Amino acid sequence: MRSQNLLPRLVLVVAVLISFVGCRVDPPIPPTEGTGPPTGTLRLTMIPEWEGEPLQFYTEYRNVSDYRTTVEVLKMYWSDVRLIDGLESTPVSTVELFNLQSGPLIREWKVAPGSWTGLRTGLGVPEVLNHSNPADYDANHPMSINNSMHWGWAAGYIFVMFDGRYDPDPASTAPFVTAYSIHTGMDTCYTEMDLLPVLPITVAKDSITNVIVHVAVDAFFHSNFGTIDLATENWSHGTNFPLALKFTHNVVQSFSIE
Amino acid sequence: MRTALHIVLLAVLLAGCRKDEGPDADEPNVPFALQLPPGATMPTTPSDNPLTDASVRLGKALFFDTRLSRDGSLSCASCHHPDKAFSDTLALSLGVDGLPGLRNAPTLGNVAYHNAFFRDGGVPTLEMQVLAPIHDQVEMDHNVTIVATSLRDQEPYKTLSMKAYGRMLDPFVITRAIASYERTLISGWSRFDRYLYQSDAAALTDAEVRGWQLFSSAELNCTACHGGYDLSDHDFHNVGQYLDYADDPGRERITLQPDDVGKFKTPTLRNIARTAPYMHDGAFATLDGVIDHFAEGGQPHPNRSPEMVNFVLTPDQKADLLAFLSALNDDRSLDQVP
Repeated sequence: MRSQNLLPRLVLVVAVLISFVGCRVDPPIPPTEGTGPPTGTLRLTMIPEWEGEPLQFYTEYRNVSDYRTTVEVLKMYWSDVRLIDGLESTPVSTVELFNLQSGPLIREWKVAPGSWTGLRTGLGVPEVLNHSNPADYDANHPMSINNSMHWGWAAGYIFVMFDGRYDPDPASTAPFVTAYSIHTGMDTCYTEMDLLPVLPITVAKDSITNVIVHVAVDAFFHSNFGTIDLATENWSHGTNFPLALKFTHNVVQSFSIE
Repeated sequence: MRTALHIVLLAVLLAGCRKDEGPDADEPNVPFALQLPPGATMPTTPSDNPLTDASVRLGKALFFDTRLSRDGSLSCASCHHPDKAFSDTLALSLGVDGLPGLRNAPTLGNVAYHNAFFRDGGVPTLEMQVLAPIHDQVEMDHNVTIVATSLRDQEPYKTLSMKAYGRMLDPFVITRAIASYERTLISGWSRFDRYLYQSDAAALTDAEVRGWQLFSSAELNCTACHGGYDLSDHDFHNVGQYLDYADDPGRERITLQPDDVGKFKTPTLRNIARTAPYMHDGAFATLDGVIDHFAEGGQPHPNRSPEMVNFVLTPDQKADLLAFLSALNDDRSLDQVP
């Protein structure tokens, strides 16, 4: 009699257990250690600066034309980032988006140990990436449509987004009213650049190597390629391409590495 | 009694493991039966976006949903309305807050056959084209990710997205689904098509036949660009509309080549009588005005197409030409609002 009552209960308990096992989400399998190639960490700190001091967004500066100037937006893509030594190189990152709105940014990458003379990167993204569909990237990917760095009309990405305000009257104390907005893009603006520190970049296994990249934002307005006069050169959104090219050259010249 | 109770409990537990995909989630997703008119070829589709019943239904629902715009006032159909052969009656369509767009909204008929989108051809796929109006500040001024997040748990989106693409509604799905629907907007059932592709001589009036003969004549040279099944070469031409294209350089905006200033994609002429106003900026209110422009040969812009030739039409000939263009009306291609 007792065994007759127990059997259905036993069946139920087993069924419940089977059901829960069916719903169980397997925990991720931890990576196996010691089987991959040895790696070190390359840590890059990018610091936007104005005349050698950390840039303060929305703060009034004087630019090369002695215009009252503020910076409100500074975002840029780096792509095909590599450590280089002559013709040799090792990949670091396919694409990175630097939004410097909140000041210095830090990126860390696992790379093969070695000694390298510098860092090579594209400013912007190369053609294949440039014309990829931003809807295909996860929301957290640097090329996601969420980052507002895509020109839908041209099916291409904005490489550098630089916005702010200016006033040609250096003596004025009035609030800023005139905006500048220089957005570069299109394949022609894609530029590779080499950042070569004085000392080699040495990456050792299981350790962190620090490099600091300074961005002289005040130099965006002038270089050996030419000066940008915001009074007449303040807008480029795929149009005014000569300005986009001059600005791109100036930005490339603005980087230094230590 | 207890055994029955146990069976019920077991069923409930097992049901707890089932993915909830909506009322018809278990129905199979089948290829979309695209009906092609005589003379039409099967359009190509990307390998990652085949036409299926579910993808087209999903795309259609999204196409007519005003929640794709920031303030909920505009859908794709607001500027591409079926009654107007998927175009607009305004020279420049109005976006949210009443802001005018850059160009006249073109018909979407036969976009499945295009290999570049927008009047300057700046976008290579229909899928990528979808992003532009959603994000453009003078169109829907929204964000496709926000759109996806707000709609993904609602029907029919929840069910159709899983069925069509095996994933929840997201930017990937939205762009592909709308592109799928747009690929079904095939036009080719006009009386002219019956005349040309089905040898139905009675399909056109005498005036329309005379208009077709004028249209395809060497003197008028219309078919130099408006030839083929879609009555468009889908290429880019400067037709001398202006001497100065500073307001809109057209194809040059994309290629940055001076030779492309003032060039715009040749529009299809299907349903042309329904898609006024005309040209990239809607500058001509009527087909009569368009014919006058081409008869005069256009402005002598350096990039003007060599195919632009002056011609003279009598009033009767002009009436015949207009009659022919009206014979391109295609009611069957005008899908209805869901």
